[in-house]
Amino acid sequence: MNETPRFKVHNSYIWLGGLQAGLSLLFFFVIIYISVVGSVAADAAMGGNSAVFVVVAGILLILFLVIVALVFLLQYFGYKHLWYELNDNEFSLYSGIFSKKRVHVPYQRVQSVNQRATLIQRIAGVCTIHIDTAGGAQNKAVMVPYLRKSDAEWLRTQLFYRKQLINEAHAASVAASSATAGAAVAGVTAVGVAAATAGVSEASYLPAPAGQPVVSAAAMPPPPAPPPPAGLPVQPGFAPGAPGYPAQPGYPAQPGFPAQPGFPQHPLPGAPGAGNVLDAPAAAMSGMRGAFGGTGFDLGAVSYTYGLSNKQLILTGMSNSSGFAMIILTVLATLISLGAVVIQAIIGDQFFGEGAPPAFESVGFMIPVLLGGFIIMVLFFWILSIIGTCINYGGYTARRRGSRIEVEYGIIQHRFDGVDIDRVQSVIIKQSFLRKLIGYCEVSLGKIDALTDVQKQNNTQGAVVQRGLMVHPFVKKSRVPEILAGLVPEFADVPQDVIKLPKVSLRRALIRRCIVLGSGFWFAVTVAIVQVILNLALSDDPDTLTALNVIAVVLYLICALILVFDAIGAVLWYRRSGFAYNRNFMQIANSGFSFESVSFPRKKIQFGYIKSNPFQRLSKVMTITARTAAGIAGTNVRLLDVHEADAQVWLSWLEPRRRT
Amino acid sequence: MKELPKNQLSPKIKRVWRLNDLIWLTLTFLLCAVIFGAVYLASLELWSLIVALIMLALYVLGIIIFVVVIPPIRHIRWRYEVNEDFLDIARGIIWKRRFIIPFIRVQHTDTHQGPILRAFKLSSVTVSTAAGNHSIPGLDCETAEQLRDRAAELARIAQEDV
Repeated sequence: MNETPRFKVHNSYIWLGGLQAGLSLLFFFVIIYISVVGSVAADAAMGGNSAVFVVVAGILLILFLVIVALVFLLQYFGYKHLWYELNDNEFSLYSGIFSKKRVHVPYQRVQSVNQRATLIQRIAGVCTIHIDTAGGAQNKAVMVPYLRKSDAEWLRTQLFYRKQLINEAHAASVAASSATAGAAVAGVTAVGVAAATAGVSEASYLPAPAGQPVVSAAAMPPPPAPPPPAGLPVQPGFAPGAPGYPAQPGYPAQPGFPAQPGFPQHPLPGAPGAGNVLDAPAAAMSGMRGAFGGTGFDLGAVSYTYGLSNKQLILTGMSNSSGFAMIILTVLATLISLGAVVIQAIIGDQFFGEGAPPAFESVGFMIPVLLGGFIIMVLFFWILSIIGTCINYGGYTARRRGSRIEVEYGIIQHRFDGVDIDRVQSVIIKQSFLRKLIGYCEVSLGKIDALTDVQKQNNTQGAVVQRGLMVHPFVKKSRVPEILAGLVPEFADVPQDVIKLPKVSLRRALIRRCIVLGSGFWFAVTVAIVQVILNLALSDDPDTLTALNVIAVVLYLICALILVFDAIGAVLWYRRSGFAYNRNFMQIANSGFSFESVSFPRKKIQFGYIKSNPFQRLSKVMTITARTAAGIAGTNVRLLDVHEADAQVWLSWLEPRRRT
Repeated sequence: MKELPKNQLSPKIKRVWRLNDLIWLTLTFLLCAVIFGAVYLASLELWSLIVALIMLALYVLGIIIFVVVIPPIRHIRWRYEVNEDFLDIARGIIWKRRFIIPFIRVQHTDTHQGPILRAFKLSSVTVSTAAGNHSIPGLDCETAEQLRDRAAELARIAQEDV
């Protein structure tokens, strides 16, 4: 067989996959068992036939065992028909027992490679890999389940390096073709240089299989590092043992890279923050390679890395969105109960005069008790959510390794995301209201996201898919430039001269947020309409009407409060929003109670447009929109009400520059 | 102020838009009105006649707006220009939009011809980027071919990476 070798996934696919399916089946069966057997047993106890009981119990047990056996059998055959190959140009995954399925992913289409492992998988030392791709109308993720940890690391490096090789070859051919038009000598040197670099990368990363485009590009001058003979694509240095596994663990340490054992932890150049309490268990967990993990091998040099400090970890938990919701809930509950007490004091006296019934009084005493209980409950869930967040982000490490950005976190469920710097579409800095108050923000990278078929099905049921790549969940805003300079120096050159919004935008923002989209305003209108109707309909019942009108006044007050908040939001938006661009980068900031700024390189803008409606034209403002390919189907980055002239200049900036 | 792109769509596109809108307006009208007309004929109740008449009025209004008023304005506002390395599109009546699509971001281009377009010997060109498509409807077949070839040629130098 002179084809590329087939790589199988780990055999835990059979028993671990079967076990997981079996466990969920067990749960299902236990319920049926209890209900069926219980009713039969009850029947037997009432004097029925006890033989029936035994038979039914036996049949159920056998049924269960048969189904579990079937599941394992299916897993076994699924395993037999599941393998992947690494060809010259593409990664291929073959699967399917009855209907054969094969997925091919050209290396150049690989956007990011992500690893996931549940607790059981971590103990076994296996994980699931998602390869995100972009192209065509739908971005697709390819899932390879139950890979040994070392295989996963190996696969990830292979995917990135092979992509890099192809890109180098492409660059070489472009250089060659552009140079041949001019001077032939220059062309030859270009090819020579390209071949030399390609050769060096071959030697240091991995020997390219025969027929790699690198070789064809470098055909004229003899390549410095000859590729291995065709028909023997297995990399030399691989231990030939373990049939089925072309022996990744035995991979030789690459020259040119200082050998770093396993996963390097924090004390590395530029590591800010002191680490946190959960790092030790997380390090133990990721140091633990599991039963079948295999030994780790060198993945390349890390140029920058950081983790989370104790304070950051705890504060992340405290200021997450559920924390904010909890605080709002508590405040609301307090307000409502206070309002209830007040209304009761007013209406109660009015209705019952001096002789209020004792039951009513006791309800009045109940309210603070209920409120206290409610607050304790809210606090409890809040603390739970903090602990959950801490465990989720425990062992958080972000690092820059060569041209890749890697992020891993999670103590129980482990996640590992890797993305090439070329694939990063944007840098997003976000502040929720709470975090804005304390001056902290979260930093994430926009990338092209993709869904597996399974996720696509789930997504229709409203599941939320994480978008982008979070590189820091909680960092002081002043430290962001430092982190970006270490992690993504390519994005360090962000524009500084912010173009502010014109004055007329404030007026428009006030109208838009308070009236057109103002929930307070429309709520008040609704209340007013209902009030008028009720007043007309119940004109012969003054007592009820008085009560209703009191409620209406309270509602108006709430509306006014919302209106004031909307107005403050509008002013904040006007004062802090803006856009900026320089030669290569663009940044759009949208403020308000929360803050979001997105910066992206010009070459990642797929297209841009300006848009105006009649009112905007009257005020001489326009909406600018830049569209990038980040997310699942592209993302609009938008700023409303930019001055017309600024927008026009920006549009000219979008035009490609003539090559000089 | 940047001046508008030079080129306009073929004037025949107005007829295509009219025909297109006429067809869906008529279909919707027939679907709704027939029911109420049948109800009236069967029961002779006044309200169903009134509803049917309102629908008729809406239908006539729709025809006036979509068939008489809008197509010429739309045609005037729809402009495009193929520059050396970007595509420039300006369109919209109420919401005016102006797009700049660099050819190096275009992943593929294709021409498309539906039955109505074919009847008028027109075709539309679509350019696709990694984050959305733009189509220029109603070009003479020859212009469309030229435009597509031009775009494809310029797009070839595009980096395929996104």
